[in-house]
Amino acid sequence: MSGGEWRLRVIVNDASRNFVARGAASLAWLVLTSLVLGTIALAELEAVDRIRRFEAERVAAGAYVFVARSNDGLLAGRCDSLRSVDAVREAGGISEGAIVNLRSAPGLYFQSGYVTPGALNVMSGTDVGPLTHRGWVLGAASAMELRAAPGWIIDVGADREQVIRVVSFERRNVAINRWMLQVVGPIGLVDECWAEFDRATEGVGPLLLAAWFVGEPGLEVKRLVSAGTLSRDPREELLNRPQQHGWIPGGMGLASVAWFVILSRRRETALYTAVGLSRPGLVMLVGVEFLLVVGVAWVAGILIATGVMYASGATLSGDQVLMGAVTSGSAALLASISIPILVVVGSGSAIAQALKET
Amino acid sequence: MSLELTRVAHWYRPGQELLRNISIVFRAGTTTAISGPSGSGKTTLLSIAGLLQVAREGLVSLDGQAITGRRQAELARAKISWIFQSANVLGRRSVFDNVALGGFARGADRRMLRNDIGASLERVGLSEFGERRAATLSGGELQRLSIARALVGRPLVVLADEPTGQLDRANTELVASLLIGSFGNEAAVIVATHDERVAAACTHHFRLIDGALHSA
Repeated sequence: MSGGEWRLRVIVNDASRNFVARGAASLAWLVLTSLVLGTIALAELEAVDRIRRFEAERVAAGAYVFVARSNDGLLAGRCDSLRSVDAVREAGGISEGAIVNLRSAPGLYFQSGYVTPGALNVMSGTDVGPLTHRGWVLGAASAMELRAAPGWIIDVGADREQVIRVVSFERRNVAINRWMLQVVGPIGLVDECWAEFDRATEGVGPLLLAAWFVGEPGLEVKRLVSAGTLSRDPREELLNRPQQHGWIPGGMGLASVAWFVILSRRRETALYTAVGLSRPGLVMLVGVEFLLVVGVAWVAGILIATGVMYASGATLSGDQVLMGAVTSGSAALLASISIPILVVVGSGSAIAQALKET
Repeated sequence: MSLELTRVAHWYRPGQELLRNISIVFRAGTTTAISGPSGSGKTTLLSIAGLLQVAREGLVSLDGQAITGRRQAELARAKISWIFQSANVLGRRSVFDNVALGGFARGADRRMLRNDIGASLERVGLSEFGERRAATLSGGELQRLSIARALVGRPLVVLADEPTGQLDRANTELVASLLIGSFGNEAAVIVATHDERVAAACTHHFRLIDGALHSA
């Protein structure tokens, strides 16, 4: 083992002993640092969580859904084939059917309609899943009025068919929520073609649909959600959230705490200098103790922040926790970088006088 | 071994020289007392001799080699031990740990120094106090701890700044005898003191008056 390594071991060992020996003072320093780093991480987690909830709300409301229609209807097969396009999450067509009257509920009239399989997913904003046999898909409002549930038999005119699914369309299409739908294959014409895009590809939506159905007379492509509700952009908010810069004031705050610790222990650092510890050695001694505190506090801060978030009912993703960890870790890093300067300035030059003071 | 100050001058405010043109040689095996009134510059002189402070003018040499530059001063400082008026210790650490600090500059840890520390503690009569927290020791015991720490460092120069300034008569005699008698021919011991009895026990005695050293 070289002298340098040996010396490093001695310094690390002594710094650890100083930390343990200072007991309550070290604990207070650790707690304060944990709270600073925890607050930075918490602010970051909370901001990202709020933006992501907003984003989820937007998606649920159909922010990235576009509806194409034309004067003469659109080819159902053409609409269904959008499902194979990478940029499109889901697509399907819908046609209006007749007004139907149920024999078991005379006087109640419902709008019927025909949809291709993908349309149920786009219009509900959920994955309805595969439908294995023919039957009625009831909007949630229709099912409530009829007090019907999957498995019930409904007599419409001369036909008797089972209710195979009840789906809520309330978020994206309130009107269809009171429709009775039959799922059909992608043949013939549909009145409207609904297509949902990914967040990253929604910008190309109108152009893609216009190109997809080019030549259709009176083609109109509209966003499902009115522009007024899209005035906030979660992507922009995520990129520009002020909380991501919390590491700057946080790091300065931690450096201030470290500065206070160094000044309050000036006599101690003077003693180390007097017994022959070099300036780099002194920086290392204080730095090791600081890193010990900051390292433990960083982990504790993340645990505190995630604990608070879970306690408030949030569901955190791994990358979200990583964002909090990176931001609070940056604060710790900034403070760590300042340590050599703080030690050199704080330990001063009038060492003998410092040690003489009683 | 010798520590030499050549034409050393120092001031904190321009025009108010605290030390003027001081030249002196401290040799191994000698004990030198420097006395003088409060504020006469004894601590500053020791700080410059101990390479904790750089003189405005003049040179400090160790074994004939002039110490210039911070790195050189840091290396040379490892050969110098200090004993202060108010015993400077890590109060929350054990007596053993505090004495081990003497070997810090040599890059030695507690395990390596176990025998040295034991011998030093025994030399100053603190062998039973090893595991006690330093803060629980009395003033005289703390000064003896400082001497034990200096012994472990195996210094070439020992600088003591008013080491008996806060001690009663009995402890003063004990600490002075340890200080003067513990380092043998290995080190030059330099003591700044107000106490004439301590000064009288040293092999050399100088007074610092108006920034200049005068043989007593």
